[in-house]
Amino acid sequence: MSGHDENDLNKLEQSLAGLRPSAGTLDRGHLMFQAGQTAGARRGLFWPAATWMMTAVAACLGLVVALRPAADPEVRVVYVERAAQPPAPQPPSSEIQAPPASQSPAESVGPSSIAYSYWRLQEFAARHDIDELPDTAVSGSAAPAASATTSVGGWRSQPASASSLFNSGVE
Amino acid sequence: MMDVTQLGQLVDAHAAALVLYARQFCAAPEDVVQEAFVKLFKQERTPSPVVPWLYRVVRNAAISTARSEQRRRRYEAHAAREAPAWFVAHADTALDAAEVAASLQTLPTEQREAITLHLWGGLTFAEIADVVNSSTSSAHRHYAEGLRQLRERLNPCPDTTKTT
Repeated sequence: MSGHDENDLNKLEQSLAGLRPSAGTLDRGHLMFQAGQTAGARRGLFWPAATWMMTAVAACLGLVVALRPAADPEVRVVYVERAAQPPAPQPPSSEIQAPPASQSPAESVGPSSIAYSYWRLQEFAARHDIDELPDTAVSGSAAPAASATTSVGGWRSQPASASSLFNSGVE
Repeated sequence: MMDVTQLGQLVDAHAAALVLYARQFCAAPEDVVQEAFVKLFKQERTPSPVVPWLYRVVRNAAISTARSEQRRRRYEAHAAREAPAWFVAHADTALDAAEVAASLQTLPTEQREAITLHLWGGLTFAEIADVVNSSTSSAHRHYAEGLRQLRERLNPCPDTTKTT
């Protein structure tokens, strides 16, 4: 009896398994489209999410910068080494002695002046009893100097000082 | 992650049985099954085994839908009137598909679930137990008891099953 019952159940089971369930109004194409659409929308969330997140971070940082309290003035002590004092300038050495206090006011004009040098030359000649002076027109050349040294006897006694005076006058 | 080809194969192989299973609970089983497949496609990792996972998702969604359908009785009655047949007419069996569907509806929910999941879903009793949150022995007991009740209600007798 039990075996017969089991056999009946097996036959019923096979008959029921032979039935094919109906999918009803399930649309396979629509299902696949919706699945792809949903999956695509999910995959496309990365960049919008990243954009929103970075925007939020930027807004927070902006608020922090805008609302932070003003910083206290900073006092900074700076030590600066004192620069060494330059040595005092030495007076330039010159071959010509400082003129005596009895010099005329014309001496106050620069030593490069030709008139001044010529005046000094005349004075020098008068002091040393020189009869002839070189021509003023050719005073810049070497020839008159040579003629002056040959014609004036006293001129030879002090050649060094005279030539230096002459050179200082024409330069 | 599952690709479109795998999803299409699963739909072709299990959609109808899933619709039949969801029909045990709610009046709009196609929507429930479609949402289950979409949910499966959205999974980062394909659940394993995937078929019991699908039945579990369909079951939860169908029960939830059935609860919300209580607020829409008018629509439910309309949908019930125009509900498609549970089974496709098949020449290999002498059983009347509409009669089998009517007999199935008279069974308790646990027995209907066990019969549907085992016969048309292809799940083992262990997988059925996992889907319905019960034990394997309970699933087997519900299945056997449901078969006996169906045998009593179905006419003609299964002995007249056609052979091909």
